Amino acid sequence: MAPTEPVVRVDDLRVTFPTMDGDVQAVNGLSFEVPAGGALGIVGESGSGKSVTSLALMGLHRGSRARITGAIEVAGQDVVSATDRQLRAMRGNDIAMVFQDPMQSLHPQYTIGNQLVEAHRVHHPKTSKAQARNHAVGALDRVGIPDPANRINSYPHEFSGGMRQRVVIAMGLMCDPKVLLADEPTTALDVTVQARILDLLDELRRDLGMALILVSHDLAVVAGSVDEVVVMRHGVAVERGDVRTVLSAPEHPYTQALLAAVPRVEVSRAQRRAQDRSDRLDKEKREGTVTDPAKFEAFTPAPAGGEPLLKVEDVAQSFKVRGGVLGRSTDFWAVNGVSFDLYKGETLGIVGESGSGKSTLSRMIMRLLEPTRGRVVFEGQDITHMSERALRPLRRDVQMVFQNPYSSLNPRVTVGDAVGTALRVQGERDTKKIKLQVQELLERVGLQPNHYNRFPHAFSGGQRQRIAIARALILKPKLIICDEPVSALDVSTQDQVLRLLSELQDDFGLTYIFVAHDLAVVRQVSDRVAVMRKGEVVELGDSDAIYENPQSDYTRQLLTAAPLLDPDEARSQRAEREALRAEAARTA
Amino acid sequence: MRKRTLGFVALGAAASIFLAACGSGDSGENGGSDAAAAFDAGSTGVVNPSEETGGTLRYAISSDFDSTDPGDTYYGFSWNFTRYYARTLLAFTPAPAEASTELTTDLAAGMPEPNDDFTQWTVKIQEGLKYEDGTEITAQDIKYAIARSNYNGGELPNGPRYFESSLDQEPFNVYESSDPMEEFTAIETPDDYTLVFNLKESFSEFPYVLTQPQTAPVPEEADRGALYKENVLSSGPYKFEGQYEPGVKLDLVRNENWDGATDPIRPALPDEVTVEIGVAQEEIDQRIVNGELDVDLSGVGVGPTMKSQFLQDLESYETNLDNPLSGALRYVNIHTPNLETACRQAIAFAADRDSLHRAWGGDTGGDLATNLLPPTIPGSDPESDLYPSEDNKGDLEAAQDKLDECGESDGFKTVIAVRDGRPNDLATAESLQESLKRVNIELEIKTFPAEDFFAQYAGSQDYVRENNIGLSVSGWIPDWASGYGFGYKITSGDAIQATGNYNTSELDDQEVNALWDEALTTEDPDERAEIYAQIDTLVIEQAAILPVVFDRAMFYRSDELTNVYYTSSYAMYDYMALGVNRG
Amino acid sequence: MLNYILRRLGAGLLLLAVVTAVTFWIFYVLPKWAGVTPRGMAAMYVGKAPTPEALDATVERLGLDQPVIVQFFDFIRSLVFGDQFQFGRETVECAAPCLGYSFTTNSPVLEQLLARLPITVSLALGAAVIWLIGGVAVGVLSAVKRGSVFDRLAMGTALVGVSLPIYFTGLLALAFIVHEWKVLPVPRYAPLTENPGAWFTAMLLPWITLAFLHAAQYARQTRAGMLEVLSEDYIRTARAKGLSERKVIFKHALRPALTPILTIFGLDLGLVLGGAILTEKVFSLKGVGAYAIDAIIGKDLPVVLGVTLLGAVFIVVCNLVVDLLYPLVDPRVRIAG
Repeated sequence: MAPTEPVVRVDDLRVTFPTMDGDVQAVNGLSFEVPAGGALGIVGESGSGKSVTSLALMGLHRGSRARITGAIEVAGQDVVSATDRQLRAMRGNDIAMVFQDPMQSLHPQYTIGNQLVEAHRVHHPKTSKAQARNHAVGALDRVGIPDPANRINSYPHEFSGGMRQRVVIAMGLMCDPKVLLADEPTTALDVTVQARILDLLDELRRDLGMALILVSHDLAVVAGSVDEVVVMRHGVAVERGDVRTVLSAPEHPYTQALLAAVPRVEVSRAQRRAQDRSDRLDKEKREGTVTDPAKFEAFTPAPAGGEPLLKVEDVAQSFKVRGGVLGRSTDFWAVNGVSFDLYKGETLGIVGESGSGKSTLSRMIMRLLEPTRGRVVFEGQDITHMSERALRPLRRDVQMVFQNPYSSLNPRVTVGDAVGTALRVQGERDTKKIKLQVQELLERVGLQPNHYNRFPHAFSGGQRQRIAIARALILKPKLIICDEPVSALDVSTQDQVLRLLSELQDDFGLTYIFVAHDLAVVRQVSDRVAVMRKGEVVELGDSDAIYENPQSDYTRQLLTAAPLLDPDEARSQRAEREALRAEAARTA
Repeated sequence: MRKRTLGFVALGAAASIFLAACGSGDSGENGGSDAAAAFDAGSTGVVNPSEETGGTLRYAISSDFDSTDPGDTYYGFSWNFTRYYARTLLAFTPAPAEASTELTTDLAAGMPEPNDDFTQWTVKIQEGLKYEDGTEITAQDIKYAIARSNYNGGELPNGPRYFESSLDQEPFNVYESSDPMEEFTAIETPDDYTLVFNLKESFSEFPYVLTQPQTAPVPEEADRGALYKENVLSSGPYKFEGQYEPGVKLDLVRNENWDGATDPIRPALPDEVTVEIGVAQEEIDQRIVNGELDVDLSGVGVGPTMKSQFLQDLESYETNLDNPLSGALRYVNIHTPNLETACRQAIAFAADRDSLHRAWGGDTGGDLATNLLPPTIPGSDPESDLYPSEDNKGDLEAAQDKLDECGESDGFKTVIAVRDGRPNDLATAESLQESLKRVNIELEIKTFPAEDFFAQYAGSQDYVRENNIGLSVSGWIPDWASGYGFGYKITSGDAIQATGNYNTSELDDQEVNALWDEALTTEDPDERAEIYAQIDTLVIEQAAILPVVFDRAMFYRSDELTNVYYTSSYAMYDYMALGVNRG
Repeated sequence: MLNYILRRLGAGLLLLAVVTAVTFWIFYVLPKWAGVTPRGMAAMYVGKAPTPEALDATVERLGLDQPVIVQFFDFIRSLVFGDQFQFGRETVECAAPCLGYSFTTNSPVLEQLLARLPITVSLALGAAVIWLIGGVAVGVLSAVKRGSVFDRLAMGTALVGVSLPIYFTGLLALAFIVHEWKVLPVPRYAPLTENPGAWFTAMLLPWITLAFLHAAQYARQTRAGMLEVLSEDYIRTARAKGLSERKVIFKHALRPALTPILTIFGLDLGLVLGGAILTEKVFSLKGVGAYAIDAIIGKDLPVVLGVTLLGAVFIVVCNLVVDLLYPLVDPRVRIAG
């Protein structure tokens, strides 16, 4: 596709938000161009200004307090100086936008048909309803919604997340726009769904000749889908260029660091650990506090055999689901027939997409849920149906770190109290002793001891997750269950938290169960991996073995869906996926 | 206890005090019988006299009737109003002010005749009187009406029990008796037009009881117990139109079977009478001023909001206002069980009457009282003052002498009981507290629920003794305006009760008791008035009661009303006389 | 669906029983704790200076000395099966659902309630229409013109409206609009069926007064709801489609903002249908609310029970209707069978 006249041109864009503490420059001197049919990736971590940029492209800052200078030109229309009417004529017609969260970006109270038809008719008022409807059915078909003629009458909540994102994309297609602007279109989605959505966008771009602007925090997401990439940081484009060049030979240190932080599915546990340890040694050498490397070895997991720390035997959990006219309830098995052993010092990764039962499983091990069937044995003690009272010692030995560091900390409790409460619950009365212990631990997880009296809102997401980890560690547990501990964090923060977990394992001989949907992350932290799907374990084994040589189709599917950083490899993997799908369609 | 009184209005004095207080000019004529609309004209004479019939007379009330059944009601306004459809044996003379306290006949053919010792009374009724359905009114119907209203086993609980307490009758229940007329022997009906009342004891003032609505005839077969009030069988000039709807309305229309010639007290001018029930007091007052209503049925005068509006702009309203005495005495009981006579007298001397008067609202609130009987009652001498002092500020020296006499030279402490939610009562107590401090008498003010004040607190002998209650703020309105009707229950030793005691100071003075007995066997009203005057002096001398004010009400007299005058007998306008002229 | 309605009605009946029981308890047990004897209670229903005999007779007649539980079941029994009452020598039949006779006025409670209901229903429905439309309109406008003079003025007024009691606004309205300026005649209720004009003019002021209070609250709620919805992603989506601001607000933002309002509306309407006590009192309307407050002051148990039950019935029914309507407004909500 030969680049022609640019369809989007941004020149020295500056977006300023006036606040009480003075102006905040969200975007500072950004320039780029997208040729017709071209594809641009905008990559940056939170606060980089990438979303502000995408809203500015749509002119959606109108009516807010944002000040915009510079030039934005979309399909020949100057967005900054356009009248409201001109802007409205442009939106959806010349440039359509796909938003981050498909659960939120569709109106819950109107059918998707209504919303699609509306999107068309606002720009083509002469089209009859029936025509617009046909058009909508076509668009839904185009984005791969099965049975579109019927599904058009459904409400958004009747679709899964991936399907909803397809609907949003279909809505963007209603007026055959010249540019499709996708702002984090896959962030909330499962890996396989993410792959499909990215494939769809790529396909649409090729088939319809639309330009694509793909905004993401994840370099791997844009790698296989765009020609050119802009890396943003604090409102400034630190690097811009051909995607291959930027990814293979980044010039700016930030880009380099970002790339280094991206967990790579091809890196094994052993490699990662060796890397982490040598990094740590280097750092400690610089700081002059060398830990004897031999000490690490002590905590290398004992080979299988001996008494496992945790034994899970054929556990299952069912929930009653109400339904039907007569209100008969049916059993839904969230987890069914899962067994594994876990040895001291080992990390078991549990990987699966949403609804796979991985969270339910971890809750059963915590005994936050009582298994419907099967046995959970911890340190030789059957805790499957133990009373809450008898479980108390267990509560000390097994701790949990949750996904969302924002909601898992009570905003009205100081950090010190949040971490120290567990000690108090366990009977410690000496306040000074508690404080000392908490401060030591805060230091250990990379925070300052004087953070003791601060409230959670003063901390970033990564710091909060450190607090959560400190809270889990305070009682010196034997087992920590991490439920998606890094999935809400930026890549670089994510990397730091993973390192911390690894160091802590080295120092304290911790045993982890690491639950996540991100295959790369799981591989790098896990000695063994269990792949779950629909409540069952489809594959369980040594992590390298599973990643190098997956036995089940599902695992393979997951692996091919995992986004890759190398643009060429990403494209070849896309081809592989398409082939797989084509084959599946043929055999079906 | 009722909003009723007899007696005469202190002519002139009332008006001039009121106007002097408000800095207004002269009050115009007082005491004329056919007064033009002027300030207080309705208190002393007939305003807008007229014989013109027609129109609708519109009443409204914020509360409700206790009952429209003449046998089951004890509100003054209700006694005044039920006369529209319930004729009684006797009645008060339809005339302004003092003249209204004279008794006259209604159903009766002549005044009742007593025997020598006033234990038997005989009265004849007019012949040929008819109910609204055309049937004739008989003496038996009156006998039955008295029976059902006094001996009903709680079915009709509201009315007073004067007949029950005075008639020589074994208790029974009309609604359970197989033949109530046979069982009710205290009243004999030798023929259809004669009633003979047999009393337990001498009762010279029995004819006053015969003015009460319980003497309105009710045929036995028409009686529906508590449901009778829904539609009372009329003997008067008006009958119910539809049912009485509690809380909503009562409408009256002309009763064609009533014969005006037989009726000395009812000109029956309007064609219709309507009562709107449950209208907010502020709205009633406002609508009367606006001419959208005619009379506030409750007959206690305008509400505080409207009253202050009048006082602020007196000149605009002056000619429509009447400010008569309500017939009530506001006073403080000084409890004899807890305080000796000299101590009580010390209180009477030390009290700052001027301050007490102001606490009650000054001249607009009422007249400063120094004696027991209200000026509207024969025998009253408002000039008498046994505890005089300069400017009514209290005589502290005399008070100290009395304290020395009762052995409390350094003063003493006691409790004064006040009804909750009565700001004037509280102000009275506070004023007294302030003035008694001057002679080291310390009062502790305690408030009690108004509805249980006499049943459980100030009127309970045990409670008073156990809690050292030395004083209590009270008020009294007579059932009829005589010394007996006013003073017996609050000063006679025979009236003292363990609970619900209205002789709250528990005065049990042999001389006073003997004078009451004498009054009940004295036929001549003037002689009785003299006895009542003696009782008045004795009670004040004993300092069992510290009079505060004879209070006044403020009425707004609509220009569209005709034949308006204030009757002392009910302490409100005479409803039977009223007509309307919408001209 | 039918199953659901039946279950909800069953729960409603249970609620009514509980409400009745609690009313009984408050009525009989609380005074007993405060040391009031049956005679003391009887004193509330007889004249001002009753004889002890009259008190005893009243205690007997009203059954005030019976255990609470007996009285409670007597009440339930006559409610379900009807009852007979004795007046003088007359026996009166009271058919089910019999709410008995007033202690103070001896009038049949159900009949009185039904006679007063049209007034309360007129008041409630009229006011509800006004406050819903007015409140929502002001709220939407305020949200859209957030921070404008209109917004501040409207929200200021709303704050005043929420904090001003009805007897203040009502009396003020009466004093000026009716008595001072004579814009409207003195409100005197006339049935709609007999005289629609008089009905309308009589109800107008009460409607506005009652609606003002609620409208203020609805305006605030709508504004808050609108502001919340306007920050939703799907509103951004709608704008990104190129929709006009009017369409964004009225089609996309209003509906979700109104959904929670519907719930409150159901509850408020139910409450007002059970009697708008202050409004009825201020405007001297003889509705259920005025009946209720008079009964409470007069400690007239059968009437108190009657109005309480009626109020509870309205609330149960209104909530049920709202819950049944909810899925129509918000397709995400499904009624569990």
